[in-house]
Amino acid sequence: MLYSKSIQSYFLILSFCCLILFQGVLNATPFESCPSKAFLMQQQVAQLYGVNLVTGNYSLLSSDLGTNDKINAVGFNFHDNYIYGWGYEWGTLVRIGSDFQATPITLTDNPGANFYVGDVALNENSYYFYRKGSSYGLYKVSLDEQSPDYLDANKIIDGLTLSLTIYDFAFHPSNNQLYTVDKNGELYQINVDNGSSTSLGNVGELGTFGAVYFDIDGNLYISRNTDGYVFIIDVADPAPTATFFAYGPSASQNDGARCAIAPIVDESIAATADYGDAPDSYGTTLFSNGARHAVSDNYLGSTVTTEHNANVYPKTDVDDGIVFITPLLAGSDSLIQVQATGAGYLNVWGDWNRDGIFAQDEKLISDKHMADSTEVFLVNTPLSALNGFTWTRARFSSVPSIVASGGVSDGEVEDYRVLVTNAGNSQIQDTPYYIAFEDNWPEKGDYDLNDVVILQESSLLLTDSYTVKQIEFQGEVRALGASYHNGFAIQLDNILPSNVDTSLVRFEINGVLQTNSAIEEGTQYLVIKITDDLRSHIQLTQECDYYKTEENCSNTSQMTFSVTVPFINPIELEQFPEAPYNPFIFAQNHTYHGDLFFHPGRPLEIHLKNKMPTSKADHSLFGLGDDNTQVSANYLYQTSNGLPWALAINPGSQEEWKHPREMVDILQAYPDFQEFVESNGNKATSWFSQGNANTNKLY
Amino acid sequence: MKTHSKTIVILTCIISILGCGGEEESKPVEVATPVEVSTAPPPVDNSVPETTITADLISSPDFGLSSSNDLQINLSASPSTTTGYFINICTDFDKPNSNNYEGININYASCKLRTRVASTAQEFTLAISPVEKELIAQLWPIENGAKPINFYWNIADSGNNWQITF
Repeated sequence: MLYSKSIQSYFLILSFCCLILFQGVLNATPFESCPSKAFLMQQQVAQLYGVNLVTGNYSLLSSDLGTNDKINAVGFNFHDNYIYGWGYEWGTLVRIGSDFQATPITLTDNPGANFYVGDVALNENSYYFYRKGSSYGLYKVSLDEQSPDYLDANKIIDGLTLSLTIYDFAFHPSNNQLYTVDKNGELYQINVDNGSSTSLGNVGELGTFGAVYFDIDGNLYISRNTDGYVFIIDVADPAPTATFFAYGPSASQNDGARCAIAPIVDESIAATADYGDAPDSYGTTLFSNGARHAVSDNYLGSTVTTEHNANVYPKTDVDDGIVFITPLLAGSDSLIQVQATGAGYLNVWGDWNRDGIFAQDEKLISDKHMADSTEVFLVNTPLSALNGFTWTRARFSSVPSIVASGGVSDGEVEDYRVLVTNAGNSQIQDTPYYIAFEDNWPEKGDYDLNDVVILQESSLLLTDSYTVKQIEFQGEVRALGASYHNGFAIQLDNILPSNVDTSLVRFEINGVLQTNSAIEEGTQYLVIKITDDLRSHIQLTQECDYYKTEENCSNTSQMTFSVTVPFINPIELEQFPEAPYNPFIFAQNHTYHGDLFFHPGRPLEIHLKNKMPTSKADHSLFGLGDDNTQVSANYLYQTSNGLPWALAINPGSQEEWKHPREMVDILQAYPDFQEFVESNGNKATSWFSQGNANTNKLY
Repeated sequence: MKTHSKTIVILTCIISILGCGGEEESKPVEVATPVEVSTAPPPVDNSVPETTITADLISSPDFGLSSSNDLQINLSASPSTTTGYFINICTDFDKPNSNNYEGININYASCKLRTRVASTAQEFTLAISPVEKELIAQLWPIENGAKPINFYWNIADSGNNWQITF
């Protein structure tokens, strides 16, 4: 009896202590929200880190969690915004609030051992923990005060039946199944109702994955202790694979927790990561596991930008670290200048075969250490590199040997579009032209010259004997003030299409390689057809009828293009046409294009004044309406006053040409145009400069 | 072509008329008090009426309405047989205040000519905008730690020919 009383007193005291202890828990403040960052518990005396999974960047949240021992098996509880884990000092569950102090919680039926695998469920307020071996197993503890099993550790399955060599697991955000990867890379799904497990396949990476997380999209992140590499796994994939995602912190002891319903990028706070801006095939956006860096005090150039996600070409970032002093000369030395702020390793990749990816061996510079310096390097481009423009990526980070994609905890990534030539070649870059069309031909329009405005840039590659081996066009739609559907193309007068090396033609729209050829078939002379319908590439904003011509009608939609056209037999420079060449618009097939004809389609062409039509033009349209074309005299696409339906404007490289606003006659916007026209171009040759414009008439 | 322009004009007129009517119904009619205003005689316009719309212009049928200037470049032979040299001729750069071009910033996207300097003299013709009056030529030895030599051209001093001698 005395013994019974002693036991009774002991339990009373114990219960009282527990009450005091748990009162402390109740008083601890939970975290304010479900954070996008992951928590990482490390070290023999527990330290808690916050980890940005996007970049692997981490910071110490607390080195004093109120314990002198490890805390493991941690999980974030979405139901009360506390972290739960297993406190080795007390041999029981602990709860951690925003003060980062661990408070032990007494469990009924505590298994009496320490555990390093655990997480909190999402669809129920319960903590699950696991250890393999016949004496242990998978346990569930209800954290719901209303539950009859509140703080009672219930074994679901013994650790011999569920025998997995794992170091952490995580709850899927929607199916309430646990997922984990064992030391051999085997991905498992565990049914927490009965403890049964299903192997989903090998993910291809080995090691101790001590921290395992989910994001809201059902992507599983596994962090390897030995090197800190974070891999991402799509668990819904029939053949799930671990793809490298970010360089995170390494540690001998590791455990992770994360609020699985949070996106991994928190757009409610200022962006902290820098991304590249190459086309997404190169791995640029977060969706494509793009190259990204947590912004720190080391970067390229003198500035670094931050984004929540990448601006993909043709949208761009400010890149200022690399100068390609020469084009990249295939099979020869080239010069690049690099400015580094802070210290780190420089790696540069180039897409030599222009397949839209940076292969591991497509390197220009590997792990070049720089510290607060500007240096000019000799670099060697492989002889096999294809001539023409391609993409390069420079990454600068304190982490050496990084790859071309994925997150890094510091530094910067900069993507550049660069010309590759052969050593003996010369590049002549034509002056940029703005090609501005009135599309009402053969009737006069309103001369706002903004129905179609294209910025057209071009460059020639010359051999050492001054023959043209390749031409490249780049362009951008600057305005579409038209309701007609117009295509756009460029004819190279007197150049035969049969001389084009079609196997090496490269055609991109908005940086995306096109599957259709840019070389139009069945023409007498070479026609590079960009599109049958410019409007199909532009997303108009709801309140605007046109693209970038109306006041208060801004539009972030863009259409850029580039075409590289190599010739089988290089052409004598004297025989090659001159910029701006022969750009033209044409009617889209099966669409209305004025009342003078019914759906004229491709044969309706509108060229610059006195530029020859293609062999596909319908000559019977000449002379209709206001057109006064006289083919025999080479007076083409002009009115009886000699006025054109298109202008090629050449403002140079330092100034953009601004087109008139909707229904603003170009003469009102640019009064000097009159003198230019009437003097046959001998006066007012800079009529198009903004300094000579009524700027309030310009878009 | 703006297919809705006439419709918009008509609609605007209708809306304006309807709008004015609505205003009159909702507000009391105010009778304006006559005010004596001293009126100056209208200014005499002696200027010749200017053409105000493009459609009234007359252009020679031969004139293509485009303009650019040709610049003849003559490059001397490479200054070295052992070190390769590369030259960039560009239009967009920070014009120096003196002849010291050290650290000059060039927008290499504006380079009109990029070529390796040959062992013999070279000639190129570049088309430039009428507004581009100044160019820079930057000669780089192709070697680690290279420093450039800069040459400068302006149309006022040199016209349309530029002899670059190393």
